[in-house]
Amino acid sequence: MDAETAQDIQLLTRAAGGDRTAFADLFDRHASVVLGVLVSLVRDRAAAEELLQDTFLQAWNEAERYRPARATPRGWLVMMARSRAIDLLRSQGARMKREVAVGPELLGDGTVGPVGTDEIEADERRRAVLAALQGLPVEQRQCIELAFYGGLSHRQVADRLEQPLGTVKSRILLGMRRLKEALAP
Amino acid sequence: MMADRDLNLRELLPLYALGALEEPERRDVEAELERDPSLEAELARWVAQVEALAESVPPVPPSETVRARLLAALPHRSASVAARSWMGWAAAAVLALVAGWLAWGNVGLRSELETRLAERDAEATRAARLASELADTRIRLERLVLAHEIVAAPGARGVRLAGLAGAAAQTYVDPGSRRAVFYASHLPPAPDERTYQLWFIADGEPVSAGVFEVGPEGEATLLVEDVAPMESIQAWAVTVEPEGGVPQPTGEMVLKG
Repeated sequence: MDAETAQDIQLLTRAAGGDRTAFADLFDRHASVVLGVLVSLVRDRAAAEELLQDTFLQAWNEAERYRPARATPRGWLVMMARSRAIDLLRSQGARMKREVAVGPELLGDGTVGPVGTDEIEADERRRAVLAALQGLPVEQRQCIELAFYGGLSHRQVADRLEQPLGTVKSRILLGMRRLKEALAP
Repeated sequence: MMADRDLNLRELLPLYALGALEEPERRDVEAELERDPSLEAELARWVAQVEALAESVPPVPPSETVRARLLAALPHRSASVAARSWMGWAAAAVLALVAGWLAWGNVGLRSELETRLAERDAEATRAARLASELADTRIRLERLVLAHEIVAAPGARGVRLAGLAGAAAQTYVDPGSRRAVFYASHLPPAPDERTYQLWFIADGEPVSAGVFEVGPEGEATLLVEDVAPMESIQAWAVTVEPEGGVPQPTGEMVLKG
């Protein structure tokens, strides 16, 4: 476990005990990444900020149920945020056929470019992940992009690509495995 | 069908981490994670990939307003099932507006623009409050369901705590899940800047089980994860401690069982 994660776990533990300052620190450390993910999914800054607030409120209320064995605090926050955004998208999808634009390069307004040292490091990581994605076979990349950036379920991905469900599941699984290998330190 | 799903549950973990599963598979994976903790480490590896993908998206710093609104909307830390007061949030919102107004200083400069901004903020606060209330209700419901599962679990054991005249309290431990639920009624509110803290004594050592607040009727509920094995718990106790709780008991013991 790296020092950052250990510090996050400590902050979350203090938040679980009612420490608001610790929780505010946790917000400051991760809100930008979480909001970036939300904006990329819902493509609406106001809706994304509302989801961000819901996500962190849920994190405050459920801090005592966080399990370090399952995810880092940031992974936990990202998953909670995505789950909320995906619920919203799927409820909208029931009313209208949503156009799914995939890929981080297609983000809407409101994104802010890197400026400081931390941001440069973040930008390097971003490039590494994008390069790893680019290195995947196109059919695997397509499935992962539709699921991650588009918030589609495996069934929706299968419909969209007119492929059998089993094929889509295997492509996501294989793609995620390759991604893991490509990003291994 | 079920057998087929069972066979593939491990393979569904990356899809679960991506949020790409629908019901009932999502629920199946969650149930399996509860049943087989060895899957947790594997899930953590997939969540790390999702985190990496999250890093591929440019970060978007939230506005100061969102941060302030969130921090103002945090309910007081409590596992109490008691209904949380809407009035508390409303009062906080009004206080925030009044404080903002006073800080503005020169009342004469308040133009229609500020009034409209205040109205917009009030609307936003109301919307945030509704969202908070909804999330809060959902969580309370989940807690109630969980509390019921603990009490109804096979082998669950109850311990009665006593000490405060008129107050009643009980702890149930589910030996299977190592979870416990604590219920109390007719408790007086904790003194100012103090909080109640629940402890279990395992192998002679007190272990904090969390702090709790008391509802308007003197009731409180606290869910406890990862309690010590039931046979090693010798007692349960409630002490009065500084707000936020302490690692080792320092205050007066008010309930014991």
